[in-house]
Amino acid sequence: MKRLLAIFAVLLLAVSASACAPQPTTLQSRVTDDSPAAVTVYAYEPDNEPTYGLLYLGHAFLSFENRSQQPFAIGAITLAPGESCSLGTWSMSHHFGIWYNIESKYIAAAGKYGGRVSLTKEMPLACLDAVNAYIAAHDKWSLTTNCARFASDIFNLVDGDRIDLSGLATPTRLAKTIRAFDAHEIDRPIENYGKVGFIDKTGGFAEYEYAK
Amino acid sequence: MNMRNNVPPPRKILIAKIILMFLIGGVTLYCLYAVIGQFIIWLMQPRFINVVDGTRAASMGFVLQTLVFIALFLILATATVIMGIRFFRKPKASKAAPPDDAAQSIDSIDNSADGTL
Repeated sequence: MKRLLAIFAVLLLAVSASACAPQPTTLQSRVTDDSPAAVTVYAYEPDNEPTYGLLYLGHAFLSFENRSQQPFAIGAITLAPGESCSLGTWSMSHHFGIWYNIESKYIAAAGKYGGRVSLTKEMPLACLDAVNAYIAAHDKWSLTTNCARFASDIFNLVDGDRIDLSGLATPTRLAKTIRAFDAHEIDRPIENYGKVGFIDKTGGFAEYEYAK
Repeated sequence: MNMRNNVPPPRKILIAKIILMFLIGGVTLYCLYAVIGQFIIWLMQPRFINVVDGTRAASMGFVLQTLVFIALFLILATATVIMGIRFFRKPKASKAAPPDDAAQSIDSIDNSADGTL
């Protein structure tokens, strides 16, 4: 009798464990050779970065890749065929809002965001208008409309797989959501990016250069 | 009612003062550590310079935190110093005559009174 109870308990635990363990979500809208564009959402958690007691919750951002034969615009940037750009909101002294290509430059020149997780899906060109409209209306940063909220909202604007990030968005929560997908990547590079900067109050592009 | 039973002994008060100063001093040093650390981060961070006017873009999140920690450090350091002075300075000598001297004064008056009689 005791043996039967023990076997039953073990089976019950095994079933519970398998039911509670999160199953990876299969990415449906994967990028193929025919995809005209790709959008990638990144999340970086500063696990090994020294912060000296200061609060640093990481960073989240996006990248767009033009895989078509025609150029198209992402916000203030025009991507030629084969070009990419990164996009993220920052609380920078000169501009609290969208900065272009800071993250791609940080990665390429300074090796930053090591261990970043990302998720890439194809982007139909029909979604460009919605994406650009969102970018134009959300060129700002605050604690609630932060980088993680910006990145996840734009990613979800594009048709296909969505990221569930309700409530207060943080890079850590976004990273956890990304990891739930089977097709998530680690340390995906961003190549062929353009100028670093933001759209200033006059509507022009304020360009910045990287200086170590 | 005897109030003396509710007063903690001097030794316990001293220990409580030492613990309080130790705690506040610890938080003060932590604030200093954060400020110095932010300066180190600032030195090591990659920089983005405006191509037109050469100004540098700085992340305001860390800047605001650093300002808060600087303010906390100054307040707590001042409090620590003031507490140290008030808790551990020697008490001033009392201006009133001690009881033994008063008793001797009374005896001398009596003796002198006896002497004159």
